[in-house]
Amino acid sequence: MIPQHMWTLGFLTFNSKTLITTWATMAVVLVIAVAGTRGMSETSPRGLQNIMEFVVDFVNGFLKDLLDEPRGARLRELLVTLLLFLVVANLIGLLPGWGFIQGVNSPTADPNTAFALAALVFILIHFYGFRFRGFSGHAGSFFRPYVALYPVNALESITNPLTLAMRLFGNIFAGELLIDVFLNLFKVGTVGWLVSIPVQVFWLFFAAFIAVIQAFIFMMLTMNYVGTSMLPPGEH
Amino acid sequence: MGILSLGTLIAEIINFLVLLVLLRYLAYRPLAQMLEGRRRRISEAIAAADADREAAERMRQEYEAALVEGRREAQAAMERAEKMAQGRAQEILAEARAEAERLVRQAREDIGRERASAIRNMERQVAELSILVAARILGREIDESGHRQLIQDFVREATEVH
Repeated sequence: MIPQHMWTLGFLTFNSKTLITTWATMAVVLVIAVAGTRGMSETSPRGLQNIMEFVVDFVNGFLKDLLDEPRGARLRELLVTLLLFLVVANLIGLLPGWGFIQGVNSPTADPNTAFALAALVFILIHFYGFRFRGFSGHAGSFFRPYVALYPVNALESITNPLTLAMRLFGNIFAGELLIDVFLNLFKVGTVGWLVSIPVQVFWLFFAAFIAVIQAFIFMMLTMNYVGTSMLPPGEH
Repeated sequence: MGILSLGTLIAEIINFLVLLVLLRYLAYRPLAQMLEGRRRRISEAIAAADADREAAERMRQEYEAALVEGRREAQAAMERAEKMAQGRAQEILAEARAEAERLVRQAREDIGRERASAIRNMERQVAELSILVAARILGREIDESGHRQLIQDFVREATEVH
């Protein structure tokens, strides 16, 4: 595992590997999404259009159960973007060929990415909370159903986004760390090779599965947290 | 391994928001337009199908009504024709009966006339014959004109017996 090279801009530092793989992820998502929405057919969708329609329908299906239309429309694009971004981001580190940055490669295996998304979710929870419930409504939701539950509610408003980030980061980081460990087995010699290859094949498959599941979980929980904050307290 | 760095965190938030904005204009807008177009097309197709079905139903009812009306008219025409034919038959029958009665009456009159003339003839012949027979028996000529009245009276008496 090669440590990240750090870029600096003024007093800020940036993890180069994270930014490079994030941009690669953005490029892949953009290419898929743009190619899937050019020359679309209303009657007989083909190719990438089907994928885009599937993702939007998939998100819509869950969103409809939680929110009515004017509210749901505010989250739809965010959730579709989140799902597309996370699926690609979680999978992209599994691809070989990053060369100088082998091992842990996914942007979501960097806690900064996970916490960045969680911070976004945290901001949205309270932005939409105050916007849709009103100030007293959203502030009052911390004292529901009982005033005595305020500490729990306050803690939860921190731990919800926090665990969101840690779950994503932990799953992806662990999955790719293990790949790095298996790669290091090659150094042990013949026995290492014999053990490493079948385990890697299995683990790569499992990591890909986890990558998709984690993207889905992150999207669903974001929908739940932000969507719930749009509804009157106690109504969900 | 990621080291917590504020710069990366801020950069990742910006990256995600950039992706969100790019996708909104490059992908979601056209996709939403296409879905709206599809929704409109489907609802139009359903509306058109509904209208067609309604029109077909209306047409079917019209045809059915026309069929019933036609059947009713045909029935009425048949009844009218039958009634007319029956009337005509009665007429013909009545005419025939009248004609027959007329013929019978005429025949009766003819027979009566014939019979009267035959009887008159016979009376005359019997009278002549009687004169002839009487002359032969008496051996002399009976004055025909002198006794005719007498004989005719006799003959009438004789014929009135039967």
